[in-house]
Amino acid sequence: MNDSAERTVFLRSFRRHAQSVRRARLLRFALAGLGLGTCLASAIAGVRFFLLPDRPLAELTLPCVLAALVGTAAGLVYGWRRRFSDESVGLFLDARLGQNDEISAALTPQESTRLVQTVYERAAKLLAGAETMRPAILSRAHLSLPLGLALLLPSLLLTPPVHRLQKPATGAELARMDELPGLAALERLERIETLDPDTERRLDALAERAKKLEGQLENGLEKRAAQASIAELRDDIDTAIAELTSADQQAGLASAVDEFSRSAALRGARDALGRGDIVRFDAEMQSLATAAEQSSRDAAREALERARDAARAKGARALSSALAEQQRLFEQRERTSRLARQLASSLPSELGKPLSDSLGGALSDESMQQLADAMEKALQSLSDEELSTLGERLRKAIENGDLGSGPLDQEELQRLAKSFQNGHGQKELREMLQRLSRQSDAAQAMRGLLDADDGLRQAQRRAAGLLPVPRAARQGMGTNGAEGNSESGSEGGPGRGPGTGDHAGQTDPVSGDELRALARPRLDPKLPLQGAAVGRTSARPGETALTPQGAPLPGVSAEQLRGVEHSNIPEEYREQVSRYFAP
Amino acid sequence: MTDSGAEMERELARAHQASRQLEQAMSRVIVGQTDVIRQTLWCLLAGGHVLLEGAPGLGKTLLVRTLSDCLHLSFSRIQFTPDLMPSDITGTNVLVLDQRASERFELYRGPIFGQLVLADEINRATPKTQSALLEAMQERAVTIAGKRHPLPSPFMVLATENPIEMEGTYSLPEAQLDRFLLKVLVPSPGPDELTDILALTTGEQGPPPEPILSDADVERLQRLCREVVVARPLLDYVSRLVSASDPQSDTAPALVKQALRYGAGVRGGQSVVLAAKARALLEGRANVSFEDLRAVAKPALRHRLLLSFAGEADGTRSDDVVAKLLEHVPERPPAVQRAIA
Repeated sequence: MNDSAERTVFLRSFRRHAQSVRRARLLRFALAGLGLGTCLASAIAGVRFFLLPDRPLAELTLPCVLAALVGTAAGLVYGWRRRFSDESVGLFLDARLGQNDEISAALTPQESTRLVQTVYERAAKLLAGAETMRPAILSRAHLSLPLGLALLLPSLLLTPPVHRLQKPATGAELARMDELPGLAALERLERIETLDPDTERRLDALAERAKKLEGQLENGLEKRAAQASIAELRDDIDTAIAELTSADQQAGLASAVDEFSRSAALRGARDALGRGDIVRFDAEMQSLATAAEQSSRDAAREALERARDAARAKGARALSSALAEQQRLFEQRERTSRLARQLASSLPSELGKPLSDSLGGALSDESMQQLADAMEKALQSLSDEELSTLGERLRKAIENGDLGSGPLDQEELQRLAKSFQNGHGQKELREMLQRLSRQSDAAQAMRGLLDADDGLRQAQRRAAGLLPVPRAARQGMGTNGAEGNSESGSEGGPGRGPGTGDHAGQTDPVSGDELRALARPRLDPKLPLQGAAVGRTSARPGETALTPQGAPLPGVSAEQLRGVEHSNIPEEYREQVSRYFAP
Repeated sequence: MTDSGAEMERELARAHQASRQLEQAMSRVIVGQTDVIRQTLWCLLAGGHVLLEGAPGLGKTLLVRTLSDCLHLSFSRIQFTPDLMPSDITGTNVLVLDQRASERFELYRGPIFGQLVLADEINRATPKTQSALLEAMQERAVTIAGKRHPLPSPFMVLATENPIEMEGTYSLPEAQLDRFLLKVLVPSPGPDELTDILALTTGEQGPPPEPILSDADVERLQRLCREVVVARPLLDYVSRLVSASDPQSDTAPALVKQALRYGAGVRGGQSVVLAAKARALLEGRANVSFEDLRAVAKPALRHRLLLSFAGEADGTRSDDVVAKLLEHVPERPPAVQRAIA
């Protein structure tokens, strides 16, 4: 063995020990970083706990995890940069072994002296007999980890002291989530899928705001503030509804409506489209698609195609997309209704007769559901052999082209026929029939917005301490006056679109319980009268309500104004008192 | 293990054994001065000179004589007195008549031409005479009448000085102090050791110790001593230690700034490393350890630290300053120190 071989043996042992030491140090720094990251996460949770208690807890997950990860990564980077050199590892091993610094001596490049070889041999022997040594992993810095966790967990588990931070005035009432169940309708907005990304984004934003309000209400929110937030949400929903039938679609809408005026059978659809009542229009189109008369179906199909082209030609992109989707749905609905009729005719007469009768006219949502139930019941009463026969008949009908010719639908129908032959057709058929009642995207969005607004309205009334009342028809969106009364008994108002209502209706009476002085209307900063805004007070429509808006008002402090707002002054006089102090 | 490796292991074992034998032999004559004996042996192996400081009657001269007996080296003694002339140390040319009655100068070698030279009570001679030792100690040669004469090898000066009787003495100049590798303090014996000394010295005189090492052995050990390995971090430590002894240095502790005028220079650092190598070798090791450096720091540095007026007024001793330096300067980098803790 020569000099380099002695050195090689030593270095091999040394590297094994050095790796262990360096890993332990890296772990030490990583844990310290994790501790600091946890402290950072607890600080974030603390900020949420004390300063932003209305933020939902779920929002904390990502920042907290990121803080911990960033801390750990920083610890690793720091540990890597501060990793021990060979010399330092040698000093550490020498100190741990309690020997005479032989490892450090062996690591030091020496001029060729006779004793160098002896040093290598002794150091190698020393390391070979030594157990793995590593520096202590835990230090005082690692106390930050349990400390961070100890601070983090209460911030996550305890209810934020919202009352301490936003202490309501004496006598002020708090609204809570369990008292306002109508808000749940807003959550459904998030689940509505539409083809139009703008609409989807708008619905998601509304659902997000609803969640935030729910978070606040879970902790308890002053009733007046809750009412103001709900009112703001309703304003936004109104805006969203209006945007679904916005002005830039009007030209396309008019042309599309014209296309539906050519046939008397399409009058209902024309009226609904003309009013921008997408929900109603969808229902009308469903009726037409499932109508027994071929002529009605053909007229509707052609009108839809022409209306779509006309809307596209006028640049009404959203309307054109909605009509295209309606066209697709129409095809599907029509084919499914034909399938149902075919099945009904194929069934034994005592089972098929009632079904054929119900399929005699157009199908609504409810009748579609009833048909699905009846069809399933009828199929369940068939024997396997009868089912197989039914499948065979269905297969022949498909081959003869009696059920239309779309490639995808063909495939679906073939599968249905096969499942009948296997004796499992009931479930498939039920699903297919249920799809008939699926609304178009635009209709779903509109329905969701209307339901949300309805829920908000109920919540608003509950927050005001009133019993919930059924939803009244909305101006412009309800059925027009000619079509009779709405659900609440009030008469529908005139339509906003080019409908042909008789304009004889009237809107709901404005309720007198709704004070919206706290609503924060969007102000145009270019306009004068900073700090003052026109709000709405039901008791005096059109009156001006003063809100501080953060701007200092001459002669009166913000606290004084807030004091007025939170005082026991009756609602109807509160504004006058405020104006007295801050005219 | 290779042949050369085995040979070096044998060499180290021999050095260790020789040191033990020397220690034991000298301890039989010099009672209770184990540290003094060891430090003198470090100095011998490192090839340096030693300054022994102690009260009269503590066996300084006997120590040197015993060492010469054990080593089988030529021994000469110079008793320093105020009227001692430099030529009394180095020697001189004298006029002699040869057989043909012609006159010629012949060199009369002084006591400096011994291998172990005892400069007894060196501080009693005048600085001029003391400086005669300078060339001999540093160059290991003397110049007489313009002619340079090398001194025998191994060559070692063992000077003694008495710290008590300061009247009529001349403090050694710094330049000369610096040439001593170690300054060894000879302590007074304890009661038990004194009893042993009384028993040993008042009875029949025993035979002188047998020679253990020849001059060739000593030279071989001195060469081997130079080959002892010192790790780079240990050299860094010595460097930091010496730097911290400079009162102007930023790393100097407060005591150094207050009590010192000059710190240990380059020779101080060299002395620490050389003495540490000798210590390691005598313990049979091939490399220097931090423990070696700590052990030799005081004898190697104490005579190189020049106390300031404030330091002398406070009664600060050089040993206190060295102890402070050892405490103040960390042996290992802070990160390693924390990892060990």
